[in-house]
Amino acid sequence: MTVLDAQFIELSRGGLEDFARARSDALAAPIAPDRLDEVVENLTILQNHARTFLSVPGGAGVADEGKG
Amino acid sequence: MDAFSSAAAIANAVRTGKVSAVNVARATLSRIRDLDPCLNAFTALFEVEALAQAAGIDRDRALGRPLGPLAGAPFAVKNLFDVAGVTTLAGSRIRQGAAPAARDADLVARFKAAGAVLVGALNMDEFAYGFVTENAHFGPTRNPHDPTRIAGGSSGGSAAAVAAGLVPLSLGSDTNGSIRIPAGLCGVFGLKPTSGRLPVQGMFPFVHTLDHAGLFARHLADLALGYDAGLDAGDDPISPRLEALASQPLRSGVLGGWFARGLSRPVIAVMDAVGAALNSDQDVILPGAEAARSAAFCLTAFEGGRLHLPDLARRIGDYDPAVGGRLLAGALLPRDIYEAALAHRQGFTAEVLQAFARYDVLIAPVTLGPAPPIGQESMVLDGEEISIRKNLGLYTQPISFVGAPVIATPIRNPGLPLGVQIIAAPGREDLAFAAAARLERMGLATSMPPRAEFSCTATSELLEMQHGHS
Repeated sequence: MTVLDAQFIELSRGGLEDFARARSDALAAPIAPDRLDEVVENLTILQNHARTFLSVPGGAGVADEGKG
Repeated sequence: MDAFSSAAAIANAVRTGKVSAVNVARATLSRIRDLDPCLNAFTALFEVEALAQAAGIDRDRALGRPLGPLAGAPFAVKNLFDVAGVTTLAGSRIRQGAAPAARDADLVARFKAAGAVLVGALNMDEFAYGFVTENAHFGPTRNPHDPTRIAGGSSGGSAAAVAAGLVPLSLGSDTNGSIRIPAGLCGVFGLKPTSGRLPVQGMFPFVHTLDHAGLFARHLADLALGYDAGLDAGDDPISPRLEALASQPLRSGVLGGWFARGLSRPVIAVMDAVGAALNSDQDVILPGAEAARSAAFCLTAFEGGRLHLPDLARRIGDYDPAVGGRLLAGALLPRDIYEAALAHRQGFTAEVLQAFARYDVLIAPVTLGPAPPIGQESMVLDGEEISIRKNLGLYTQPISFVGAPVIATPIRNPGLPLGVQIIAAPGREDLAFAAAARLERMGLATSMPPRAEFSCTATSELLEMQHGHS
């Protein structure tokens, strides 16, 4: 994991803006200034989802607590 | 025969000469021309080709040649399936200049080989990234049960066309719930089979690790016939044993936890009714469901975004505004997050398979409530406003992650359509059909026609009234 990747889930809003600009430039898909907010909003959602599943070890667990 | 006749009844009538395939095709095309301008389920009609295919079926009958199990039954396809000679749009403007497909997608070809007559292509969320079918380029598809409401998505045209009685069968795709959600909201049966069970060749990709091809029908027997038509040679068909399956003993569990979060009262009532009818254990917990849903969300964004990166770099302004920014954000997601999501999938799959050691089928809601109004952007979950377009798949997305077969089953209720997911272990479509058949036999699972026949006049009046009150 690169330093940039490792830090992704910890980034603040401002950090996500910098991340988005740097990453999109590196991918040759620079973000127009008027779209930055939208992209960062979507990155924030992805960041939250990443935090959710990365906080769980593997997803394996007790399969059911069924009650008849 | 009427607009809501089953594909099986149509095929039987064609085989026995009670009606010609050409007359069925003509009546279908006429009804689509009358009703679809307001429903907006179709993006293209293949009139000449449909009539020629139907004429071929009538000719075969006249010559005493055997006819397929779907002989003369009309069907239509989500416009991400290749149709020979037609540009595959996948709901986009970006694809409008692409070359026409050289041949039919495998699933389309298999339906035609079974005698089904292809009449048109259907609306969808752009590139299948959404749950609403409010497409910026082609307009929203309306719900036949209430045209002020969405049909769901991304295969919204496929569900609405079947629910409105325009075709008895349609094809769709499901990556995170795109068959199950519109099936539930439009009150029809929708099958997302086991991952890879029906061919995805010739289907415009979205997320290659999660894409499934599947279908919609108003009758469970038609769903089985369509599924059988799409199978590889040598796979076990369902239709010959559907009646027997309805009597088969089943161990059923209703999913709780994540799958019971935020449900509306009507959905709770539907879940209770299905749970009781199947004598189910209650509150079966998959502890990893929320995390699995989040991992699927990231995986989808990354793969979808990377697939579109070249076009995002050159012409993001040509994307649906609701889709372009989401795809670009996904393309920026670190690869390590994507790889962690893939790894997470394995763990959750093991967890779900463990549950299937105890249960033949698991039952979950399709959505937390009925179809939202067109244009409504958010819904409330646990007191928090969340995007409908991004979150209608709360309960479908974890299951996609496992590749398990699911039948979205419409459940009789006094309000707008609601459905449940009947989930079986990968490869066990027969068990999902068994549970759905039992519910259908009990009168609980049924696809009700819209209470008021869908018509352009009624829709226009309703929209004018709504506009006048806003």
